[in-house]
Amino acid sequence: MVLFYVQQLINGVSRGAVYALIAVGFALIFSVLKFSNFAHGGLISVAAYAGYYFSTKFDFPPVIAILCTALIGAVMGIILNYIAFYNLQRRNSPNIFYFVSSITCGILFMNILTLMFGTTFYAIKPFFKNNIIKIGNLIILKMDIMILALTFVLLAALMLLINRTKMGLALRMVSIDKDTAMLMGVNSSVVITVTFSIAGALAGISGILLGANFTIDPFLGNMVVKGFIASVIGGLGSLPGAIIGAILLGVMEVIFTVLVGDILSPAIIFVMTLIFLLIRPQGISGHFVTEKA
Amino acid sequence: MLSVNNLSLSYGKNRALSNVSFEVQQGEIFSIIGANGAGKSSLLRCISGLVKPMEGTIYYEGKPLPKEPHKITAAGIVHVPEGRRIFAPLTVKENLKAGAFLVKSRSEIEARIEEQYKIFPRLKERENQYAGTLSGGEQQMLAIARALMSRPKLILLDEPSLGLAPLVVKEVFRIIELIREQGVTVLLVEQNAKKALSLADHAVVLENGIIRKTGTGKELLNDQVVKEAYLGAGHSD
Ligand SMILES: Nc1ncnc2c1ncn2[C@@H]1O[C@H](COP(=O)(O)OP(=O)(O)OP(=O)(O)O)[C@@H](O)[C@H]1O
Ligand SMILES: [Mg+2]
Repeated sequence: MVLFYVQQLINGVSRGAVYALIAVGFALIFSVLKFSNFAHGGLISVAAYAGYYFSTKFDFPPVIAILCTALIGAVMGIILNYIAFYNLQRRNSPNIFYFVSSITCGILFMNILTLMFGTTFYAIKPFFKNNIIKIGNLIILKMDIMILALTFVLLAALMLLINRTKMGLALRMVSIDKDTAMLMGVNSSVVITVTFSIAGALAGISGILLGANFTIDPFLGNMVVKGFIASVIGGLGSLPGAIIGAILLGVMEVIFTVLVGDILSPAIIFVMTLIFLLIRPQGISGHFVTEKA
Repeated sequence: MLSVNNLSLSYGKNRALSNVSFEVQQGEIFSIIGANGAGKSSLLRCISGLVKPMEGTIYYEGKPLPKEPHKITAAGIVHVPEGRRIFAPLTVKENLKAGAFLVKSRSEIEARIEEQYKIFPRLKERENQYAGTLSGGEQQMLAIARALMSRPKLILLDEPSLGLAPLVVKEVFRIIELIREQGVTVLLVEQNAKKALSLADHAVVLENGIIRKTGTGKELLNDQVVKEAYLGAGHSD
């Protein structure tokens, strides 16, 4: 019985890790541009198909397939910024424009995918031939371990980038006060481009991992909602908050699925999230990021 | 060193600046005085590149001013904005590092930080404190120190004495003179007209986006119109 719960816990944390990758990409854009980028979901969908091609069609080894997908995601992120948001930045448009533009783009990406691939489900070839490690009676999936390790490395690298490098300082400056950052010599369009490429790469990696865990259809990217919930729980714009929120969400999903089943569990989590936000609207991290008009 | 020619700026229908022209000489303190809404901050934002004027030109060291703010900073102009705008969630030291964003060498940045700590010993005591927890006066000192980290040739100061206690105001003006002594040209926007004019080599009076008066600081201090409008009993400190 204990073993069962340990297994479920590992399962939940690994699911939360994928959510964390989504949530952090989402939170990065929020902290720099102060809007919720739902086009992130479109990138995830595109990346899932790209991941399918790299890993299954071209038969690249998992690591290479993941790297290639990350690259596609980064490039897509930069393109997204130029088609959807660049003009808004130049004109200093209100946030609601960004929001609408991002939702529109997300839907657009998914519709293009539907046109190209139809609604047939695609499946990524399993990353591991033998996906199971047995420790005594405990069964652990290699895929879960890989996801955990990969997420850990990626997030640690991101934190180092943000806290230890000049680009990271620029990113923090722009997220606190863009005008003043520019007065200190920061080229804000470079910072924004870099932010979109990092968020895009994260969307790419979460896309291929989601694709490998589930089946792929054009609307797989709607999983971005999980990242959104996680970053709201964590405190919008806070990266550590987003990570904690995501792991929490993953674990809760698995536990409630076991306790009350597949159908009730999302409703219960939704209600719990609402109650949590009533009690603590600023999220776990506690510092409010107000949307600037 | 800086010449502003026929500058005009509107926000939508609101005209903020009309045909503003003046020239700042190397090494001087140049003051701009004017009431609330006169367009002082807008003028500084044009010079630092944060807003684009609709008409007019700005020349800096004989050449047209670069277009983007980060290039203007790289060219040696630094703007201390109204309301200090320190990076509240960063520490005092990180704020100073942010000010030296364009400096590559780490040891050079450390040396400059030490230099600022000599001028502002208070900041050294608080170097690991979040900037948002500093007092108003300390925040203003930090904003100035942060700007000096880039070793500017021209510093734009927007109401550095705003909301500070008399003793701190005195300190701010002492530091402005110190900055000039180090060879930095100062463009000072102030509502504290008396102080700003007595310090200034040259000055202008801005009213509804138009330059009403130009002269040396002394001339404007003794000008009848200026005396009545800006140096009356209510305006002296
Ligand atoms: N972003 C903006 N959008 C619209 N109008 C603006 C904007 N910024 C300034 N204005 C308007 O332009 C005019 C000049 O403003 P500005 O801030 O330059 O004045 P100021 O002289 O600095 O005033 P204060 O002494 O109060 O700081 C004002 O009428 C103001 O309302
Ligand atoms: Mg002003």
